[in-house]
Amino acid sequence: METPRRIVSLWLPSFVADRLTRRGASHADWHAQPLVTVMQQQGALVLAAANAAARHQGLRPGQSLADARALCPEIKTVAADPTGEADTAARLARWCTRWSPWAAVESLRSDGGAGLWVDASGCAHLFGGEQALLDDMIARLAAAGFTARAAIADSPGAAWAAARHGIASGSTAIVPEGGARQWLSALPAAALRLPEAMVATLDRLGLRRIGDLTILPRAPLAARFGPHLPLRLDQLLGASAEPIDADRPALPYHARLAFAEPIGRTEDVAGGIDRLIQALCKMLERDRRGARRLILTLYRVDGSLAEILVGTSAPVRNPTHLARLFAEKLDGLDAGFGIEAIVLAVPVAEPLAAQQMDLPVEVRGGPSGSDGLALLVDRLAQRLGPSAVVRQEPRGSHIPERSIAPASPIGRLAAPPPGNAADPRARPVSLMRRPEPVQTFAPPDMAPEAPPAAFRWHGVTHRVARAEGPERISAEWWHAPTSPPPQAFRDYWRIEDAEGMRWWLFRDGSAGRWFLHGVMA
Amino acid sequence: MTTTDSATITRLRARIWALEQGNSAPPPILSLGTPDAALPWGGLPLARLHQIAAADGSALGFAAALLGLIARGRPVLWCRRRDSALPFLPGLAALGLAPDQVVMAKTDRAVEILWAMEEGLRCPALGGVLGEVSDLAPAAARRLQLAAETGGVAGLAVTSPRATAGGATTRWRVGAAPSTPTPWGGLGQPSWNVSLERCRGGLPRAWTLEWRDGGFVLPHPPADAGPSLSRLRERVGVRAA
Repeated sequence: METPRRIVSLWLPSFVADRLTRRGASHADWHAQPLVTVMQQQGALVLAAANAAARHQGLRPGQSLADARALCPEIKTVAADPTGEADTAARLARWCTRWSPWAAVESLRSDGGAGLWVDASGCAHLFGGEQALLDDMIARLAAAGFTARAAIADSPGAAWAAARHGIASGSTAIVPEGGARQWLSALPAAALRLPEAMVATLDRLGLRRIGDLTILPRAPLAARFGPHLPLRLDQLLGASAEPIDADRPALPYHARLAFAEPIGRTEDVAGGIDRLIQALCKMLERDRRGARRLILTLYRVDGSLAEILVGTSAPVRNPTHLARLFAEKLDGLDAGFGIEAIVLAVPVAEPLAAQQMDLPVEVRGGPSGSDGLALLVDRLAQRLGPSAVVRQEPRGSHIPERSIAPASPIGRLAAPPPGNAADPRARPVSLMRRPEPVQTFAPPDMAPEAPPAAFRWHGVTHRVARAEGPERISAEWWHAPTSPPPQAFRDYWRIEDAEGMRWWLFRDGSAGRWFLHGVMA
Repeated sequence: MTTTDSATITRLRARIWALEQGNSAPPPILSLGTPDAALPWGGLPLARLHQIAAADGSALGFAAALLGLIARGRPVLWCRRRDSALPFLPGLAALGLAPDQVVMAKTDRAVEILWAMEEGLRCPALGGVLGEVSDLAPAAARRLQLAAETGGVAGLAVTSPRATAGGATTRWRVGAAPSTPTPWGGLGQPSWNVSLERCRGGLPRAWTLEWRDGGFVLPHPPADAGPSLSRLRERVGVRAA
């Protein structure tokens, strides 16, 4: 049987003001005072949002600031910040994924309120029923500094109507399954999410309640008011589907753990992560997949999130391996006032053949085989950064610094490009990060193509005892947008100095200057 | 000394060494050819930390060649500072290190090199670990030594010439040596002045070694290297007395 759809609509009527006065915000101490945000509108400053104390004084969004000051001289004003408000709402929606993976911002309204959707289908029993779920939401949002109302119903439209207009007392409402028509019939027509002008017209016609509209035939309604009104009615009754656009897709592999009491010790968090990893590895094993990337989300008591991202070099579903990767990242964890829930998800999984997970690691040829190398590489990359642990792969270029490219530390490297194999004995063992200019001393009878008699680098003069060369490496004209000048080449020399040190020097073809490019074996 | 005598001595040394180490099994030994005679194990013990004090830039090539001998085709970890010169795999291939064998870890801080080396030494999947560290404090060396024994992986710490005499099993000093020129006057095989400076139960000795056919050998023809070799032996003899 398909689980019936149950949608929670959360309404935060004073979202903008709460955002400014919540704990930790810049104006947190202004909580009890009249507070408004102001914005420029046609050259005048008008109120964008007002908190409860300001509303109590008779201030309303849309008023000019001058009028507001006349009504209430001690008013505090803050510039409206639409971007910051949208950002906070988005983060709040993501925080709501603690209840259900499907949560989204519904709207940010010009009156300073905000709405959120949470698709709670099949989730409510995890929190002790729908009433307990709604109570939990209200309590946690209140703890985070937001006044909220919550309603749950079969469709987003019904939940929206109940949250905005159907809550008589308290702050939660439950529209029973299949009972939307009856439960909502007494609500005003404005609960249908209609434009204000249309609500006014309906009001003039005596169609003041939803119940007045649901009993009318749809065709004349559509003819008189356009398709919008019947659509909203159908959405309210669940007859017309209304998808919720969550900002991130639900991840197929994810596990969640809530704590009875907030935890703060790293060891406790690590213990919780271990349990989630075990659960996830079972899921991955069932589908014969391994994780390439993992996201651990920690929900703090104060409504903020911490995320830990972990990547692997090859698909992994070995719990020990994954646990060690997270252990590396937990060192600097800021638990804040405590962590109340953690969610571990695998956004990227790749096929991984079945393995016998129960055998000891050594028996599977674990650390001594390629598995052990993958674990080592992952641990190094976790701490040093993924680009810091690499191998070198040959590339089809004769220019020394372009003849190698960083490659994955695990697996098979690309075959060397054909026809590119220089004699390895003619190549240095280490290459300067960029060629370093050297001062050269020419023998008196020196031809321009001859090696120097000595060169000076970092204040030390090296007398050249033997030299081999030149090996001419030209610019790669087939890569250049315009044909390079004919003198764009380097003449490389292998040089041994009087002490036996061997150097790789070149003379730049265009300028005739000498550079040190590497140290030979 | 007859051959039988030297074989007996080698066997006895191994027994004494095993007694000194307590119960732990002796590590596998890598034969280096000529220098074996100066080492109490008759070769270089793997699963240990070895320090190579670089008298100049050529020591890195010696360390790479030694790492290739130790790894025998297995993967190796090469730890270095981000701002140091880049190991160039096309050239390292001549010293027996294949490009697909070398995993390089670059770090921002010196302590992270030691950390990465320790991680590598604990990983039995590796054939060897090389770290370009400037200094090797005794405590850090002991940590690495312990990790090498645990993981059974040989470690090479390439340090500056003035680095602290740490707790590594052996300490070598390596600098460039003029190569034996080719008949047409070109550059000969890579050559190094190698001296074994510190080794418990071993003899401090010095050689000029040349890289030829995938191994360390005395320069050829020996007539060229003779004077310098005897001179080095004299010097070591003076120090031992």
